[in-house]
Amino acid sequence: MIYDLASEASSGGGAASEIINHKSKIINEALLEQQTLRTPVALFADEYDSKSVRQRFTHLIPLSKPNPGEQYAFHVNLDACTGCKACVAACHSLNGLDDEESWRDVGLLVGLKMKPYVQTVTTACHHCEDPACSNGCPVLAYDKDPVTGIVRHLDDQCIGCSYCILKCPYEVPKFNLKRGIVRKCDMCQGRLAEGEAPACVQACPNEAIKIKVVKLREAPNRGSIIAGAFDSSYTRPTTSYVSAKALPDARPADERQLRLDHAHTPLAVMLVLTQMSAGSFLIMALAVWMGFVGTEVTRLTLLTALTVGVVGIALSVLHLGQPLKAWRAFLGWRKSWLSREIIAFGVFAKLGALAVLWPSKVTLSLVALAGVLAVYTSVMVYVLFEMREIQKARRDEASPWHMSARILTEKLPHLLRARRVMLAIVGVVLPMVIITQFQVPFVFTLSVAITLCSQLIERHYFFTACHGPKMPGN
Amino acid sequence: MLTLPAMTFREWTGPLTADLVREPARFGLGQVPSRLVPDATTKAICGFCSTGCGLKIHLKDGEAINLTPDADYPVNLGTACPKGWEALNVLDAPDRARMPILHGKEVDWDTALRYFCDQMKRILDQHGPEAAAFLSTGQIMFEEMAFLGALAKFGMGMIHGDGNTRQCMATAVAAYKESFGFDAPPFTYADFEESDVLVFVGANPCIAHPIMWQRVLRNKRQPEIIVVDPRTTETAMAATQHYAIKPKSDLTLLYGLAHRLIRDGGVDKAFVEAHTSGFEAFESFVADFTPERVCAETGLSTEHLALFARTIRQGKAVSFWWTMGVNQGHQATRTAQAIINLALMTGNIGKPGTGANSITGQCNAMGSRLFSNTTNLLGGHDFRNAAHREKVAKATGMPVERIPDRQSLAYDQIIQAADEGTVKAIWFVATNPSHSWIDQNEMNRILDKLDFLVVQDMYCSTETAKRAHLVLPAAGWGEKEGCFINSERRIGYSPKVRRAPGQALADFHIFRLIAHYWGCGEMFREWQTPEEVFRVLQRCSEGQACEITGIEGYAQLIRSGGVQWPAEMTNGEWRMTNERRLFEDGKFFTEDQRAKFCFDEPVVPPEQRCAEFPLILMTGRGTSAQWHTETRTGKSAVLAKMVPEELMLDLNPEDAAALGVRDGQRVRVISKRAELTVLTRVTSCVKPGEVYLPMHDGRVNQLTHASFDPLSRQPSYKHSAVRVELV
Repeated sequence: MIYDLASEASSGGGAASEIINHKSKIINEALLEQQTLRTPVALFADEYDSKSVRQRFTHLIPLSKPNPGEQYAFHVNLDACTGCKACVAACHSLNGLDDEESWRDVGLLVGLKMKPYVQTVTTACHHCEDPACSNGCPVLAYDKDPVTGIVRHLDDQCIGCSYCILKCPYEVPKFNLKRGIVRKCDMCQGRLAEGEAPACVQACPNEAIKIKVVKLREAPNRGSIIAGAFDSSYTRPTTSYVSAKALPDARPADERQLRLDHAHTPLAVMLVLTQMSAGSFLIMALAVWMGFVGTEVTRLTLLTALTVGVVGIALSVLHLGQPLKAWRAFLGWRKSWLSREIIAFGVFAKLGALAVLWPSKVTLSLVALAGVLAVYTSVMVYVLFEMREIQKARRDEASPWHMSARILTEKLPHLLRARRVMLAIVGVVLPMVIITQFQVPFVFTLSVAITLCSQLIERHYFFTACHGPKMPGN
Repeated sequence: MLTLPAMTFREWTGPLTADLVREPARFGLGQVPSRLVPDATTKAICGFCSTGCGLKIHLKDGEAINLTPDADYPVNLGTACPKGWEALNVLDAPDRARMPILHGKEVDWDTALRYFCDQMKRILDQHGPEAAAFLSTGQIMFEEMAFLGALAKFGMGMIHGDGNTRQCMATAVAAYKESFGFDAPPFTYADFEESDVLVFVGANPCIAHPIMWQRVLRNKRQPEIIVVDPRTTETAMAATQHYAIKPKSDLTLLYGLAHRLIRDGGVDKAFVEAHTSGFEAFESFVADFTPERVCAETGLSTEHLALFARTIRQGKAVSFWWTMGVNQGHQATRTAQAIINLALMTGNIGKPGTGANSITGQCNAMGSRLFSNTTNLLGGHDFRNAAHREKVAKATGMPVERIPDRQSLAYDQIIQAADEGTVKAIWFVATNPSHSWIDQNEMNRILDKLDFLVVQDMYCSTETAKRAHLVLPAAGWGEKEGCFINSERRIGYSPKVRRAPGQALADFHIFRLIAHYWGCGEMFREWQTPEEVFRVLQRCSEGQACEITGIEGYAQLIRSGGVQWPAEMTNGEWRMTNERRLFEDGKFFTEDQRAKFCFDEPVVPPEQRCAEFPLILMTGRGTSAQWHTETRTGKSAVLAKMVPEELMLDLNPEDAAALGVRDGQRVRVISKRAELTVLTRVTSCVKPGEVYLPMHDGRVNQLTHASFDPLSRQPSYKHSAVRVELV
């Protein structure tokens, strides 16, 4: 955009316009010069480093491919990691990642004792021997390279369900909203294949990060790789953190910070509705078996239960970044509980339809059984979070639910209060009203509605207050 | 972005996978993302800190698309800190100033320039040459700084102008000038690698200068690394000896070390006799600094003091390094000189791995010190010296009567004059004092009194720009060319590789336009391009310690990986080595060519803890990803990731227990001047009775107590009394 005073200049006359003309001319010259890029390219375009990238980092990467029973692993010298965080920026820049995306992070450990201690920790994917991300993926979008052991994510296979994010205890896979998929560190496998160092290795001023070949059986299966990290038995991470000094007891600097996790609202709704549906079918099956109702009168109820369930299942698709690829969700059934959940609810919905069309003891029993199994898979996906001991957990810092309890009481107190009030209404006030036979249909509807809201709130804080494990942060 | 599935069970490739494909690039770069493969590269000097790292800019059609650290640059050897890696990304921020803004409305340049000149002329005509001042920076190219200083003082007739270098390097300047006879940091970065003992006083290079720390770790001599810092910083953790003294007891400690060195025979008598003056007086002065007294005042044990002194005494090559912990103190100049005294008395100067070395702050603080025409007349000259004025007039082609024969007021004095009403207009260039100046609320109250407040900046969103009557939109680093001078006196060239947004113009262009509109364009006839100004400044430097007449021009600076001053032409020929230190011949720039021992009795900091405010607040750098008031670094999403989401107060567990405060809890920090809410980080890295806040949050300087070193006029950010309360 060039400033143009030509019209103004031509309209004037005499000496005054000449001055204006001159002044506008030098503004235009300056603006034109500002927008012109020329000198560097013309003069100094072909700059070569005296040593190529390949030559400069040979001492930081393995010279040969791993043998059978071995794999590549990150090796971090904590004594050289002094907190510059260049690795984080370089990962972003040299891999052409989006906005704030970087596959490496640097966290901080602080001492527990009176002796001062502070240590920065650089962390990326640990390319685990038994990767939880891969085990959880419903569509087989992860591939652990049989030679290098690098855990690679297949971006075009991913449906963006985020289950790997919940599964990974190191917060490695990151959701990319723009693309609707998860992306993660691939140890710059293309660079390694060409004898070049990964971006983070190239960037560290102090050579704190190396790639080493490690023996698979040496991957730790107990303890944690560094203070604050999750128990290694779960995934057997391969990254090693070493120091010439004895490391004192320490905790992540952000350990006591309250953070809200993703709410996964479609999933929260899906869980409530599908469980409601499964429960209805179960109750109806029992009622029919016990002879409380005949199969004919139940059809409307069954249709309602089925609709609720199907809506729940349908809504869960909103949670996916790439829903068009969801048809592959059965692929991971061998390992992934999410895959099994999707299959189970698919079967449940079909049997439910059958039961609505031909209500009988047999069809009702089948759908009730499928419902129970499907809910069981949900439980396996979203491991139960017990709220009973919230007050105890809040006081007891050692309790595994301590942080969740604090998040609930300090970050989400209104929701917690709302749910308690609702439970009280449903559990105490409404039965009293029902016993006194006051306005039964209305009270019944109200009861269902309040229960539904209460359950939605519970699922909401189930996700947001989960305070899942992660590597040390800032 | 929805993508259709392929009709296979697994998709190993596809558009999403292609987004991350890397391919080999030329220019020695190795693999780069396919969409960022350059068709050419060029070299630049990073525009954040004074380390002065070389960056290799990746170009496509002449425009920068990415960068990597320059593997061949002698400063950084192929690495950079996150700020450098993100230097291009912060240029794209939506809050870049794109047009001049007059009273909140966008106007064209003609209107803005006319208004600027009318207002400044009116104020100068009505109230005299002291009524308008400029406050500049260490962030722009030194050709631009020189233009600003010459334009404001010689062209427009101002007397007063200073820079934000007053907040970072003024102390080192004052200390070197008096001790060495010239503002001359003697070292070269190779000294980090050649020392047996490195002493860091009030410096945290791991965080503030990570690429200098890289050089320390390259030291193959297994050096002793001594850190003097009240806090256990990342650097203190990496040190072999850490002395966590009481805040601002550094001067006493340094005198105590001198006392012990004299007592234990650690003085290099031959050097002291041949090359220094004032040692006898210094010797008798430090006689009072007995270990007992020093340990009582600093909190160190006598064993630790003895070990510290012995390590210096036994070191073959001892280098001393300081930065803001020293410079920002109420007796900063004497503290810096106490470090210089230690180097002089032990003969640790002028040899590899030695020196009393001030690590500079901003990318061009050194350029500002020598060529901004503020405290010094161009090229390290003295405004009060008639011969100097004649010389600079001749070198610049300016009429000698246009050169003021008076010193400028210092920054804090200009602000005070504004409060008193004698300064009515201030022109701020590339600095953000509404955030960074000490006792910020007071500063803002005074700024709001000004008749005319002009801010020239890349961003229209800075705290200061929001208060301005007129904002002039400036092109930033990467959008203009010119040179920086780094900590080790290395002059490096940085090119224009990006187009500035909207009608933003290089500061250089803005100064040229103002000269024209002011009517003094003729005086700056020769100042058409930065390289022409570089030539003028070369002439100004002739015969000075900072002589740069031997440099052929920009092309040579790029070819050679920067050139350290002095670079004089001798007998028409100039022998260049890439790492040079000063004073190898033992000759200093004082009249008698001897370095001078300077000292004063320590006094207690002006604001002491009391019953109402029992804690001492120190401020400083937060992380390596943050730069000063974060007008630039705050724009990068990647850099934001590296910073705690909320302002964190470091608090000792003892104090936390006494207050009933838990780690991660929200508390109020209260000083006499203001209060703010923060999260606590309970850590024994600060001592009981001391708390620490990073300076980058816009609220922190509301708390700080304004006191100044009487010699350098540098504000003391490291000692304010506060209390902490539960929210």
